Amino acid sequence: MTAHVISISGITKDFPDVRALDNLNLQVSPGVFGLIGPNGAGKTTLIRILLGLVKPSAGRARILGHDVAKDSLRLRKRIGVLHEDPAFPKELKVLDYLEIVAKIYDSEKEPRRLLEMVDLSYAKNRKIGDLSAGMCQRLGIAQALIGNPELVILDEPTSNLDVIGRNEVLELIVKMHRDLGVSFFIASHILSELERTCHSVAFIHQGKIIEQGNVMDVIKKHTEGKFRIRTSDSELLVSALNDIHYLEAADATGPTTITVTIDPHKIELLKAEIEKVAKSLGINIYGVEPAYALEDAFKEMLHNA
Amino acid sequence: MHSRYKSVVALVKLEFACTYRFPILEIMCAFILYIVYMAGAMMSFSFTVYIGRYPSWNGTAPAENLINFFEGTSKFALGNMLYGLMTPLVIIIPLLTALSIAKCFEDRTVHTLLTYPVRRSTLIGVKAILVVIVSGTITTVASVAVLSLFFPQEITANEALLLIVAIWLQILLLVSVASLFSILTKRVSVAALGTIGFWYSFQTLVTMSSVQGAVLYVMSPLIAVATTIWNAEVAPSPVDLPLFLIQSMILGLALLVISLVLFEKSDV
Repeated sequence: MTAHVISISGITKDFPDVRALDNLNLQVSPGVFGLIGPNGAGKTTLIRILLGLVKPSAGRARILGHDVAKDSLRLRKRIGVLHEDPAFPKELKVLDYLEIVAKIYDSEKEPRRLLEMVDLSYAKNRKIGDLSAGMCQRLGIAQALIGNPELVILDEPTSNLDVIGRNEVLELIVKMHRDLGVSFFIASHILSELERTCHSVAFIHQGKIIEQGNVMDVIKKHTEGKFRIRTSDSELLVSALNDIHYLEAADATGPTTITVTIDPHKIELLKAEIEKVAKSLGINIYGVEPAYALEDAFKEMLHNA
Repeated sequence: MHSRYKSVVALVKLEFACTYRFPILEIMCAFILYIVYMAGAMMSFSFTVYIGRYPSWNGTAPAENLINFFEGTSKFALGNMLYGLMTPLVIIIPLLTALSIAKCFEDRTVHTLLTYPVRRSTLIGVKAILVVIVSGTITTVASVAVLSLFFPQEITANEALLLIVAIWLQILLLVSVASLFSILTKRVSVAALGTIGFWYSFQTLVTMSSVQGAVLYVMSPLIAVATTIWNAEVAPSPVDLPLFLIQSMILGLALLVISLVLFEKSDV
């Protein structure tokens, strides 16, 4: 078995007016992996390079031991893919399309069972053009799984879905990994979902990987001593907090949120102080909580990048 | 069945469901049949006007003329029909090729299809070859039907065979050029109109130039064969004609290969 399902070394991609990827290195182990980055960070370009749709300006990548540039055909037999905002032939019926894809893969997998798995059986005779965005996404997952893949690459798999649809997709991913041992490479900017689903993550920013590791380790590393204060006026409160000497840092991270860095032992002291300051300023404090989430770690990293 | 053939069969099925769906194929059949039939029947209309203006009262003349028309219509009518065949082909083939190839770039289904275990060249090759086979079959059937209906005495078996070869080569050339335009532009309208415009501009320029003969006959094998069957004043010699047809085939295949290589090498 290959130690890494994906191994990327020194990938650079230059477009006429921008460098999308800059000497990017990444190793992905089997499991559910999340690639996190803001829009325009290079996630989709990286996926297109991995799929052989775009050629890199420099560097090389291997998936499941296959060189993506030289051995793309054999590689594609072993992976499944769902693009961001996927496009399927609108004229075809759902079941007919899956049957054709199964033949392309020469797969024994039964399309009807896959439709049941993604809860799309009721729409099997509908034309793809008549499906909602969420149904299309589920069809996309079904077609990605039809070739019995060892690795599934998903680009923003929940971007068109409502909350319930997102949960269903994430549960499906976890179930596929648990029951079938399929590895997933998920590119997304919805961090709360990746935090719930992934074993390890990497942060991409301006075409470079700025952090990589186990989800809990990454969160711990970048959120230690961080607390979030919810208030009615973050700008006013943050200027008042600058006078507190034991506070290491205080930043307004939103119109109603402040993230502070402090020795965790002094948090009760800070809470009392904040109440006093807020009263004198005439603003409300809605809560103080540990900033212990992937989103907080991501913001911290972007702040430092 | 070998898995590669299975995937090609699946791609053909996909292509028929997407590009040749109702009513595209039906309209195409009707249009080609209509144009070929009308071009062949033109002499029939002339004949009707003729007896209307100058009636012959000797009793049997109109009937004789009618029989003459069906049994021995002049080569002019035949040549007219063969030339007339170019018009629907030059319009339909680029449109169909662009609908098949450029459309999958335009609606981004090519991204999805290229994540499946299919070679890029197979994907585009299947699309291009299907256009050749479908339109070639329809045009051949239409032409043979009209020839046997209107010109049973005017064309020999060899000439008919030559004509069918020319039809297929003409379609191959048009598909190759349209494939190249589709891959370069990735837009249905630009690819279709570009190919039609290119074809008419090319013919106009070549007709005006001094080298018109060879270049025109290689690029338009249908015209080369039509002028030969028609016995036109300017027609390729019987010795040169097979050479022109072979060159047409080489050119068509070369352009198709260039399209496939271009697609293999380019970013999608």
